[in-house]
Amino acid sequence: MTSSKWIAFLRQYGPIPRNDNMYDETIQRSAQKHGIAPIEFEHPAYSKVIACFDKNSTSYPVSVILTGTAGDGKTYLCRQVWKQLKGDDKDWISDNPYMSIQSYYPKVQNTHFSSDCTENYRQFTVHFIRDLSGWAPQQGAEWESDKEELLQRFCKSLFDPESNEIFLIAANDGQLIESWRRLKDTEYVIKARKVFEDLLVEDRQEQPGVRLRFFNLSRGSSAELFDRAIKSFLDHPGWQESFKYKAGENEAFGSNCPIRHNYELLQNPLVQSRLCSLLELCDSNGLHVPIRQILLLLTNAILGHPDVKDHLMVPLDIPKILTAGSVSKASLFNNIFGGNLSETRRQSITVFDYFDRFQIGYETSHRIDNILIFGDTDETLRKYFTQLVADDRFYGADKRYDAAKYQYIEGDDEDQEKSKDFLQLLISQRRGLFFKIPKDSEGELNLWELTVFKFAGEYLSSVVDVLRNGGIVKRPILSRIVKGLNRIFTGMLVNSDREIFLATSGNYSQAKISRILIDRISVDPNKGEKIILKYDSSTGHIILAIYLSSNIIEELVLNLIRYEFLSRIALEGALPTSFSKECYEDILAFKSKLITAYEKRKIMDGTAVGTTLELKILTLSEEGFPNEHFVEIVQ
Amino acid sequence: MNLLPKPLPPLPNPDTSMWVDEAIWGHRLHDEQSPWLVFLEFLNILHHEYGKGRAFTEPDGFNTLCYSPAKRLCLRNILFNNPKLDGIRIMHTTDSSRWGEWFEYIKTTVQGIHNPTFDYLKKHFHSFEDFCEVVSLARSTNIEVNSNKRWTSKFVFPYGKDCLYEDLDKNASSNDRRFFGRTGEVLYLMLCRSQLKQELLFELKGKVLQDNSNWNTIIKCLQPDDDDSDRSKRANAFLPYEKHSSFDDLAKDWLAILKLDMPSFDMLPHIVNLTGLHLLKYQLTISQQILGLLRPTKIVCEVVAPKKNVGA
Repeated sequence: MTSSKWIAFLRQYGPIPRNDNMYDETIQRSAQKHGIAPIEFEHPAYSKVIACFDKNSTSYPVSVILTGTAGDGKTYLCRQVWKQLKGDDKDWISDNPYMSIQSYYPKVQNTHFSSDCTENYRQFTVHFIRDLSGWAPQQGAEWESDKEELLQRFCKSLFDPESNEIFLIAANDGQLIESWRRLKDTEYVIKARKVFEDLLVEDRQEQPGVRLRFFNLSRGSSAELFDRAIKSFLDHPGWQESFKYKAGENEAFGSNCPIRHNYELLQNPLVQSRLCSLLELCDSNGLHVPIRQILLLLTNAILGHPDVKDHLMVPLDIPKILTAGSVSKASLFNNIFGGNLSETRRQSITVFDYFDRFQIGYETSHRIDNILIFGDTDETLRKYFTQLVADDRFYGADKRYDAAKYQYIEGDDEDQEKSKDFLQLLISQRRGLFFKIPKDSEGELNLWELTVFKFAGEYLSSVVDVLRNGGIVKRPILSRIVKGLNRIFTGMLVNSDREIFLATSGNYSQAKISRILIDRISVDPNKGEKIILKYDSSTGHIILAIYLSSNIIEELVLNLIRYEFLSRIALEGALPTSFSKECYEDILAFKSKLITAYEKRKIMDGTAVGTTLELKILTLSEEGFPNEHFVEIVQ
Repeated sequence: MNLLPKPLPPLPNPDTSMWVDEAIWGHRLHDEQSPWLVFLEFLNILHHEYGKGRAFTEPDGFNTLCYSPAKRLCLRNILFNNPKLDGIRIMHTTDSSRWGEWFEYIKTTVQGIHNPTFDYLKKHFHSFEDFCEVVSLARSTNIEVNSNKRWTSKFVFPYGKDCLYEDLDKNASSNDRRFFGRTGEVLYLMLCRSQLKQELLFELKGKVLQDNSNWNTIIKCLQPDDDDSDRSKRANAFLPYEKHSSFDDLAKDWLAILKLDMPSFDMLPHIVNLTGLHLLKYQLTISQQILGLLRPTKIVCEVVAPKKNVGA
């Protein structure tokens, strides 16, 4: 395998125009053509899916639905099951979205019969619908009768333990429910639809009495996918083959080659861990990055360059790039955010769209910008400049950067174009810093100020990691969250953080300013009340749990956006409006749930209603501590 | 597509000269009535009919609804036609001088009430200050809090029966149909004719029709005991269809909200928004049926911004 063959193959994974429905097939074909093994690793759901069809471990195979977004590995998993059931490769490449195969399962579990005596086995027909969208009629068109009939049989089989038919159905997010909505409303279709909706909404894989395992692959952890993907990506023999040939320094894979340098950078544990953090943060914001997008990200990171065909470098481009002095445009740090692509192309790619929301490159602090602009001449900043910028002979301060900076500092105001150049380079440098600042300087240089989420680092290290490992979050963090909640619950700049203030504006809890106090809930354990942070291992969510009593508990998923939102409200009192609307409403809705829980507790306690009405009205002291002022109304 | 059912006969003496829109959609869909005001007009009717034991029924036949909404002018003068209240509290230091001054003042500004007296207030509040605090809280939760509508078109949050009254003209004498343009009547009749009305009434009884909420009691304390007598009859409501899928869809969505486990007053904004949507849907569906169009109705619900930020 030559390096150009390998790179030509690798490009298939990158941001090139293609037919997305045939992704897996295209890669398989291209791999065969080039004689190169595709980048493969075990899908996190692999063993669970295979187990459903494994005749060595089960006598009672069940149907499986794989759902998820494009690129989640649905076709891949179907292919693995097909292989497991000894399906013919030729049939698989037929591109027919529907296939079926006969399979025999032992009548009694965990028994193996020496003879193939048929009476010990039960024959099943396994139906594969590997692409429901390619198989179901177009929106608005009618179902063909044989297809409709098959799905009706499928629905029935889910509730029939005697059925000898099982199904493997792969469907994109939304496609499943949409297709089922268009089926005739028979008893079983209605039942099946309800099962799918319940499983999707409640995020579960099965329901008692239903012969189905339901895998929603978009619920998987993107960070886990990344860990698996980067390993097999970097370990692919294609790289070793390419390095084998001792290239001259200005040739492809030589010492000055940006592809080589990017590959080496991607091996750097610090770069990997920052990338992994970004994906983990995407997960915690409910943004799922599928496998296909992760491989696209990695490929683009290494091959990206704005001035070449498809914005992806091939070995032939390298000498030209070196001659033109445009190596810095191949910066891995910029490519990670799709900086080599046009804006419209970038926005159309999921992973870059998600990464863009961190605004890395655009967010900054005075300290960071001072290092980048004045670092080479300022005594105190010089050591950072040298370490983080000057020492990087590929993507640090090259001649182009120095010239643009000089122009920016010394140039007159009228020359806007020239300053724009420098501001562009600055974006690239800030992106570089995000991956270069070492772990032990994270705090000192405020690494996370390079993103929109200033509290993201703390969220990962002091909340997620701590809770996941069974620890307890430090009190100041919990206090800050409680203070943030209080400020939203009351609409006032409250400074209290030892109790939650449940307040309404009257009987209506969603008002912006809520001055009527209903009750306080203690953060420290007190008569069954307490407030804690915990980790839900089944969903990977961080949960803020408020106990009104030992058995009345309300929970809020504390994702990154909400964590950032509450932290900023607590520390700064206000937020840029772009952040706040959705979070703000979520937190108010949570207050509504707490008030319902409070009413429940009141009924359980049997609190009597008197003839006088007393209102507790909140006012704030100068230090921001709430006082209660009583108003009594006589009926 | 279902065909439009045969319309009911028009009213014998409709109170409008051009009976066109009304024949198609009912009397009537009024464009100046926001969903909140539609809902308030509806609540006036519902509470009235519920009090008479005939909620969601039309015992005298279709389109015979006749009800008399309250005016509650003492309450409304206190809340919305009383700008100097706080000034008086600040200017005077003793409780008795504050009350005295305010009683004098309110007599000069009050509108729509014959021989007004406000003495009843003193027995409900320990001090003038408490009275001011309650007024300010009630004001802060009124509907459309920032609107600059006339004071007779301002509404207190519907905490219960004692918070409901009809819109009035600027002299506070009669309903000029400016903001209560009968869309609430159409809404009431739609629900009367939905197949889910029994279930709906059951849910509403437990949540919206209860009068024992603290705040309903507080608002009641701002009114004299006999403030309920001055009522006028409202009739001539008209909805042309005996049944329609739009009526059932509306009731279904209301039920879904009412069955949620949340504080009952927090449900109201959602019910109000859904009501706006369903009235729009009703208008479009009927239009389509009349024109015999087969294309499904489309409503643009969001124009996505080209660039997403973190909160989006």
